[in-house]
Amino acid sequence: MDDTTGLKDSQKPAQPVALPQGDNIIAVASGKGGVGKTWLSITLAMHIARSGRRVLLFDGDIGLANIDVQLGLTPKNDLASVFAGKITLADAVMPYEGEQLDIIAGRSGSGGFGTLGGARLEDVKRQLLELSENYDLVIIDLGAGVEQHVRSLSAIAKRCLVVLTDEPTSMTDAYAFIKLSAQKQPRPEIQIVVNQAATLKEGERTYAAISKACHSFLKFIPPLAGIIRRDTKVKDAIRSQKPIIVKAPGATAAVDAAALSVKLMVKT
Amino acid sequence: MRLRTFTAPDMGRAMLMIRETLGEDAVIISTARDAGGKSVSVTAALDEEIAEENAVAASSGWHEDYDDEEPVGGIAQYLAATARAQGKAPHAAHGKGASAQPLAKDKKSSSAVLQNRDHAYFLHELEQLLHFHSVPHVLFEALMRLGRDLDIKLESSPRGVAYGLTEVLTRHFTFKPLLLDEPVNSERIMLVGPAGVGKTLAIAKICAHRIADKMPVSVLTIDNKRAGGVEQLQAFTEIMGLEVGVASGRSELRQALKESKLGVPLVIDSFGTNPYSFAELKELTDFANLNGIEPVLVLAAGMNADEAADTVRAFSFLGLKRLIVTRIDSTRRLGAILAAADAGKIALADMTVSAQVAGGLEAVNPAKLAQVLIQHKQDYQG
Repeated sequence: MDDTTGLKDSQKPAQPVALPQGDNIIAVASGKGGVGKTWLSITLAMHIARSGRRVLLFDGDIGLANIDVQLGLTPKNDLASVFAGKITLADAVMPYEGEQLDIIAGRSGSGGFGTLGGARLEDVKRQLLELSENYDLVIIDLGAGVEQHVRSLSAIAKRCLVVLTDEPTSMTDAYAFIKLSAQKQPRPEIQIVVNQAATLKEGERTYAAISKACHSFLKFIPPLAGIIRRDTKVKDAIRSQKPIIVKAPGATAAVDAAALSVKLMVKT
Repeated sequence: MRLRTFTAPDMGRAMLMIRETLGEDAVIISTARDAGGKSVSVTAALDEEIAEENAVAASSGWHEDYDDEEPVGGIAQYLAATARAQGKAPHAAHGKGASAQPLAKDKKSSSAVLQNRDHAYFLHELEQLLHFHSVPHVLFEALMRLGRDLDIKLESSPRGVAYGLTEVLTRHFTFKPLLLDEPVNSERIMLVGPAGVGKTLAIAKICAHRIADKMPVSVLTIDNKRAGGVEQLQAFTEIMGLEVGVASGRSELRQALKESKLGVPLVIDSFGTNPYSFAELKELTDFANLNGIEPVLVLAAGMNADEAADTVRAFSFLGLKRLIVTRIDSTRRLGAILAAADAGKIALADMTVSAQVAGGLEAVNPAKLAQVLIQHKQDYQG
């Protein structure tokens, strides 16, 4: 019996308990949409899977999911069914043919995490943490924006890659995401990926700009994870609904992404 | 976070635009010069939420400082400055009770009144600042006149003072820093000045700056008469792996200039020259007037302001265009710098802010100079 409320322990509402961070979970965020976050998530997942790791790619951009679209998949089950309570998260896992890569697809137009209740979101996160034990690495492709549900999902990741381009809107949105994420405890390991850089030097300049802002205002500098150079072959690969490492493995962007995946694997 | 890119003919004006638009808390996150070198683009960021938190934290400290000043005549001086700003006689204001009268009776709109108050506050602070730095009378009047004529909106705060001072300095002085950060440049500069002003250390700092940024630099000296002149420079440059060339006469210097690499800046150390010795100045001229060399005057801060002005005038027949100021860190009153730049009508280039060879050489721009002038007064007042 509780002395102050007069309620039995079993009658008290459940207190939210912060879920732990998955050591092998990486979230890919951007703040702004359209900066190549999903493409990067797919490419990294493919590279790492091909190195012999078991990888799960989770489409966290539920309402506007497009991992399945970029890969030309028609999933039998997806997150919409999980949210509807029809299946578990494990039931939504689909293997990507020919690779050591599993995918949990979302469903575009089904309504995003934002429409879910907090309890349902927590349940999905808990299930994802459980599933992560079966993999060497889980990559969450987060939705755009800085809303609570996006940050909540990223909170179970040990590391968070923030993807940005040299566009001012991308920089400010990425900064907003970093700022809000950095307020969380424990703070995820935030790293920067500059995408669509004209040259490596330009990419370094973009990184210098965001790191100066972070240093000046937030008093920390997120390290640079990698720079992906702009490459028209990325668009070609997306149009043909094939991963770039299948469509054009020698493309500059694919090579840059490969270098980034090696860095990530060192810690995996 | 707000992010804005400003384009201006030079860095100083870009800084002013940033300060005017985003305020003091903005942070420069990138700079770029256009291909023709005719303009600069500066991108600045401001996190307003954090700036507000800082302002709240700073405001309490600010009030403590200034509340103490009011009973000691701050209001009287403030009103005197108000009167001057309005073209009225200074004696119009006496004490706190009189403070509201001239303004309250004024038929101007309240915003205009507030603007006058802000401007008067600025003039008061400017006056105090120039007095503190012992700025010579004629220059003092010229700067105050510029301050009175400022047609920009100022706020009654340290930020407003810094902004107004930056504007005054921009309008009166010219600024042309050394091209230390340009990987390829063909500046051929000879540091000249009286003995003991820090020419050799300034050259060592220039070399260290270039070497630290992996940019080439060549160094030469004509100071081979003074005992240890060459050795002192070598002691600095040897650590950096630089060889010091020595030119004993005009023809040797001419030959060294011919052999110098295009695109690599050449810095030349010279012997200390007595500004009041015609013979010494004549000897220096033989070297410094060689085609392609720009003599750059070096002066130590902390001199008597009139002496500094006389020194610049003495060296002026070399065709001086720029001034490097040393020992900013060990001097409180900087009126001599302003007097020197004003007397010679030469641009302020760089200043040394530490005795260490590595670092401490900073480009001077109006905002930077304003910051230093204000900071030194604050440091003195504790």
